[in-house]
Amino acid sequence: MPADTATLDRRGFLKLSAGGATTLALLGAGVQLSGCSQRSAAVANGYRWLTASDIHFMRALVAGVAGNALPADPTAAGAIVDEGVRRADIELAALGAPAQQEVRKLLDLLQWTPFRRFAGGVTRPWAEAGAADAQTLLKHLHDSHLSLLSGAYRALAKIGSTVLWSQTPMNAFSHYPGPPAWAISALEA
Amino acid sequence: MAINDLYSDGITKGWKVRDASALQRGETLEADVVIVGSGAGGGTAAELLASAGLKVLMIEEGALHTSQDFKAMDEFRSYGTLYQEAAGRATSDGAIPILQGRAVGGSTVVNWTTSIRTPDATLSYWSEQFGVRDAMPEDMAPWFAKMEARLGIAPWAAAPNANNAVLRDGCEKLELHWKTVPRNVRGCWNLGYCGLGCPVNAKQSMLVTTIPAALDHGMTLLHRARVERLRFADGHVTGMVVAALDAGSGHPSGVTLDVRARHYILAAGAINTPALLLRSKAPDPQHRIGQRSCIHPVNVSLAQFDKAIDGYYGAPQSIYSDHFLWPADGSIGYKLEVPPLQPMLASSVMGNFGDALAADMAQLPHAQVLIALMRDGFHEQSQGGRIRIDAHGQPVFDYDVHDALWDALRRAYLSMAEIQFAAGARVVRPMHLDAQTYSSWKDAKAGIAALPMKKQRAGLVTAHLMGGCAMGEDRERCVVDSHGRFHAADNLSIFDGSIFPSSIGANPQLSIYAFTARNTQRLLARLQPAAAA
Ligand SMILES: Cc1cc2nc3c(=O)[nH]c(=O)nc-3n(C[C@H](O)[C@H](O)[C@H](O)COP(=O)(O)OP(=O)(O)OC[C@H]3O[C@@H](n4cnc5c(N)ncnc54)[C@H](O)[C@@H]3O)c2cc1C
Ligand code: SF4
Repeated sequence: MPADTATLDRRGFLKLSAGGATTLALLGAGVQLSGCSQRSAAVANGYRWLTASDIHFMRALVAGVAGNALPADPTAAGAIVDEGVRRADIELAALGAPAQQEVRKLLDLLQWTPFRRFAGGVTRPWAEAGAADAQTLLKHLHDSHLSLLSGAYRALAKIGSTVLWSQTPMNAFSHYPGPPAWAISALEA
Repeated sequence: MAINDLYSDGITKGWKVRDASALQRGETLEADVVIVGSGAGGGTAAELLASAGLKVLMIEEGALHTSQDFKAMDEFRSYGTLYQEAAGRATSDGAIPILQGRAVGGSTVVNWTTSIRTPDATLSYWSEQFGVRDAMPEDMAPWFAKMEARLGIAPWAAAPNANNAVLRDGCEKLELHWKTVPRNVRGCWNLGYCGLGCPVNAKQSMLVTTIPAALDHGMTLLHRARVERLRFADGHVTGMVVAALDAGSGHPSGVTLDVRARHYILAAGAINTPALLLRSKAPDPQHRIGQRSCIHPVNVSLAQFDKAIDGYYGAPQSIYSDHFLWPADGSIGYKLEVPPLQPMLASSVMGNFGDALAADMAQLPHAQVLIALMRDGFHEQSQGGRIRIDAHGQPVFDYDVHDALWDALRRAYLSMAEIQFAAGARVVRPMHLDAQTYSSWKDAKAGIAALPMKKQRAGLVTAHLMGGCAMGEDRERCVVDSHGRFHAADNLSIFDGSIFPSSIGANPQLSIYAFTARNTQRLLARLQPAAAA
């Protein structure tokens, strides 16, 4: 990454962000210049839309959104996180092209070190990060009143929660009994 | 008790149902009338035209999914297969998620069955402000009655589920108006999964009513086929280009069809109908296509009760309140309803993450949610949003929220919290990033008064898309005439939610059914003067 983009500090970043709606495009251009865009990166093997480096981030995100709702057994928890990432991939692949471009910009930004560090407060790269790092990011975005960052928060919280809480194993935690058993058996009869 | 799959039976007896994803090469198709989209507008028009003996072709970009596919009542599967952009559609800034259907039957396959007539005040407003003719309450009454009879619409006779009962009980306590929701169901099992497709064919969506009837009359249904463009020449539509879609990816398969008809009906829904016209460079001298797109912006209030609510079970909407819908001072009003609370949808509106979200989700059986639907498009500040297309012709929807609307949203947060506490809520939290969990009406009142009303901070959502091709005789402001005929082309009509010049102030489906039935009758008289006489 060239030094000039990497030196963008938190104050500089916030000034830039205060510009409003056009800023994602501007920051996106920064990401492009720094050569960190995934726009042309290949879709990860077995996935429809996410790239290999997106997947590192998504794993952290899903685990971070889950918090203490994941089962204690690491194998069971890992399976839920994997399935969450798979579901996120399906959701994102189904978006229309204009929305996909916005998500692409957002994921690139999140993987751009200055942004991750100064806007997200996360020091480790996503490949080494875990649930706690994703929660740090989400808290930073949540607490910011810049519409760009609040919007990023909304998008990430929605992806994380839908891919997680739609999974049957999570029903044990939410006490959702599932579709009425009497109806299911009547329909199968 | 196995549910009869209408489509496998129908196809066996000769229905013409074609899956465009299976096509290997392009074709030219001809019909008397082609209908783009199979939702509320398309389905209603199809039955009336096909049963009058016309050769009808219906083209739908979504796939054919039937009761068999809905048996699992699985949220992820249904949101992924039955909704536009797998339920991930949103306004261009991402601030307002949009729920809209995309399947044979359109949004009627996934809607929540609330069936309310267009309010009289709305009909009068359209007539006065937009010069809409022959659509005053007395003109429309027979069309509402006709469609109510066709679709089994009647006030819900069973007890409301606890989620809806809170709205009733809170209103009773506070002496506010409330009413029982009329629903379009026959033999409803009271399951509560209407948003995922009805597994027992009880919901009288287009999938199980008008489309089967039209197929019985010889209509051809082509699904997984997206209309890309209409061709215009000299105030006339001369044909349309249709892309077959790949079954796996949903992207164009490379096979295109050429479609010609005497008359063209667009019923692709608000957002997609205006986008299709823009993509086709339809004549639009006043640049009105895509303007005044209204959405009934919705905000949300979450309560916890000590007793179980089990909001995932039972008819999703059975009580509503119009107490705040038409404020006497002319400010923007809102309708109060409740949503179903299966976990995926519930988690997405909670707006939090990590342990806080987990704590909320652990209380799901005790959760109760109210929603308020803003009546946009009436107030002078409220001109709705605008549909445009990107460089590739894809729809992009800009929707701004102005002060008068923020004011209404704040009042709605207050009304909802007050009703929830009056009905016995333990705590209430408005779905807003800066809101707290309040344990008394007094605290909620003070907290809500201080909330910064800003996009992204306030959680907004919509499932009601209206406008973008406003009807009316005023050609400076309207895209179609009072009967849905495109002002700038004689063989094109628009029969869907995009014709409304403002929001409706009630859930849209019955308005779309009634206006479409009325407008189709008028069209039939033109296409078949002898038969109509
Ligand atoms: C979750 C949910 C709950 C709702 N609940 C209620 C309710 O309780 N009561 C109520 O009154 N309303 C409700 N609504 C709204 C109501 O269902 C819609 O307003 C109504 O169905 C809109 O009718 P329409 O004909 O305009 O479009 P739709 O019913 O949306 O149909 C349009 C169809 O056109 C297809 N299409 C789009 N573009 C193309 C193209 N280019 N080529 C081919 N096909 C295309 C789409 O795939 C879609 O199937 C709800 C909606 C949703 C999503
Ligand atoms: S509540 Fe009734 S209409 Fe809705 S899905 Fe269940 S059975 Fe069908």
